[in-house]
Amino acid sequence: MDEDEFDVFYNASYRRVCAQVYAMIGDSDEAAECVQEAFARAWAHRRKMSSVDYPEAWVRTTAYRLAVGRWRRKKYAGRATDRAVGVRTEMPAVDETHVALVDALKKLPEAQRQAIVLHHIADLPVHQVAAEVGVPTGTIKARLSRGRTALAALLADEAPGTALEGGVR
Amino acid sequence: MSDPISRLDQFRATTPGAPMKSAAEVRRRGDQIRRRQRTLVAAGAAALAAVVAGPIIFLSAGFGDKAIDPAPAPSETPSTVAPSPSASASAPASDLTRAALPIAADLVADDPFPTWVEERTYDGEGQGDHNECLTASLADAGAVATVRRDFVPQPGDELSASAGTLKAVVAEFDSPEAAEKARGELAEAAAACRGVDAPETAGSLPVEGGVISGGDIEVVAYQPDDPDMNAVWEVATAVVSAEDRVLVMTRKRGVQSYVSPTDLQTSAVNAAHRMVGAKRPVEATSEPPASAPATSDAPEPTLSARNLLTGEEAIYPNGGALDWVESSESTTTGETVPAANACWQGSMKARGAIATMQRDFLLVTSEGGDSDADAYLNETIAEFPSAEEAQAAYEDVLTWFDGCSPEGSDSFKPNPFGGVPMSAPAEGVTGLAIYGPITAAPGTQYDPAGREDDGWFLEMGVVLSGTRIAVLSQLISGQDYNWLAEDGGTPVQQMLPAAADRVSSR
Repeated sequence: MDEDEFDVFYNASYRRVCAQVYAMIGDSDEAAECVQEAFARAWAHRRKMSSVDYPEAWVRTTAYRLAVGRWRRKKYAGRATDRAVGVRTEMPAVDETHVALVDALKKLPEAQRQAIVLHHIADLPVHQVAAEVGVPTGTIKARLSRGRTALAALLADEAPGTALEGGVR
Repeated sequence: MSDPISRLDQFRATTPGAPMKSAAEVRRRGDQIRRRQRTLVAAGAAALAAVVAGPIIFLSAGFGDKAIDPAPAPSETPSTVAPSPSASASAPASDLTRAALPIAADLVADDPFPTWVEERTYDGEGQGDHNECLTASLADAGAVATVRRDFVPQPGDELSASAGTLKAVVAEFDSPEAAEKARGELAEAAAACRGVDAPETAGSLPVEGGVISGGDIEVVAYQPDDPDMNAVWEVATAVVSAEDRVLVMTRKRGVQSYVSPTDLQTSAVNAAHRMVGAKRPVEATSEPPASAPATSDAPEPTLSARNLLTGEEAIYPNGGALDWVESSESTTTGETVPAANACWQGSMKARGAIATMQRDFLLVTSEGGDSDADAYLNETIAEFPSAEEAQAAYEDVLTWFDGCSPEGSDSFKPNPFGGVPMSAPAEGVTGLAIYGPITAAPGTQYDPAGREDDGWFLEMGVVLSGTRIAVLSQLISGQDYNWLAEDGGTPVQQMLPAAADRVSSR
């Protein structure tokens, strides 16, 4: 992967992966920082990236692991998170409806949330979700089914007016 | 009940914006990570054989701060190449290895000449000039490391004596910019060819495509000293840059007339891609030469159980209280992800292995013979079609600690791999990573015992022997991992020479 290829990859994928990681972890600032760090690692390993079938999946997985690691460090040790890519990026205000959805996603078990984000937001087919998560497709289907049911219940519990118009059938 | 799918669809369609750093900024950060990793690898940790003092308290004091952080030792990982003598002391260590050099299959012979075969490989620029047109070394041009491989025509062919020689040098520079600058200077020197008397420009050809940043072949001819020679000497020099590396490939032969070096052009494109580990366009764009080395050169898979460490050789050197033994049905052909190694990344088959075998061991007490459920040892051996592919896999395994984040762990602390002396014609390294706390056994949910002060000690040993590699993965839980160098070092350090002997055996 040369500079031009990386730049095209980064510019085309960054915002999409950020949104996906945001949906997974529920923190948009943290998602942006972890995704930037994951892209930096992709560039650092660019020779290896040339043989990776799905570079975007590699970046997404790396960013997610970074985010989980930071969250655990903060939770257990009370330490400030690493700021690998310069100063903390100030994020714009996030759409209220997105916040409601992400809040609901945060209440799901991690495995269900990951399956739902990869399938419905990253738009991956079930077999690719299974490959990325490392479990059988049947497991992913079960997680999706349970996750959608739970998510529907959580969204139904929203305060009136917070749901998107047309978002509720 | 709200329909979650439409909400998710809407989220995807109206992706929240996130401010971006420029791609250049992210690349700079990536370069910074890469330089740091190179330094870590070169710093090596023969010192790892030293004491790892404990106990390590993960939660109460912050895991990362309390875990071991051995002082970098001035040793080198055996798989890396020594920096050029002229490189400054502060120059980053290189990760250039012989795997960056072209192999015979990359080279296209000019019809009707025989195919090229490897003659000799060097670390550094080797003995004697590889190119008589270049009056300065690549180290003088700023290279931080170099490797070289010489080729000769397939012996026995009636045209072997007139096909000349081909020499390839790969040099690594501090940055892509430095490599590109050096390429320009080297190409100019190759065209001028001041190293010979009265050179005449014979022709030139660009080298481009794929990962190549820039490249040319400069061909010069000059009169031989021998008046009876019915030809002139021709020196064709390909100078090609890709990323932070430069390839100088030189073909010298006697010719009666100029022939455009399209064969060398194809060879240089292939070699440039191998130089940076990229896929070679030769696979998609050109047929292999009719007389290229046949795939029958690849070794037949010959691995057997005798290439695996035995229970007697697998030791846990803590005074005899514990020992590794082969578990029942522990030896398998093929491979699965070992429970011992949470950093295992993909299969050896995917890396080109033609045969793999594994053996698992149980840790038992000398008294009761009960196995320790929180201890794992696995050896995986793999055979590859060529030494280059084995070396590439070996080097890849050494990156497995990078970005590893075992499930259930709060922190992961890798230490650099360090060399282990061994008698077999092999090289081997071991590396230790610590993670924890132990709230979960590998692949399971939380441990009700809640051993919050304990951690996992994952020690890997990796052996490269010709076309084979061996990977030892040992996972032990506890509060410390104390092994003295004067007592022989860690368990994996003590097992690795036997593993090297075994995997080298044919």
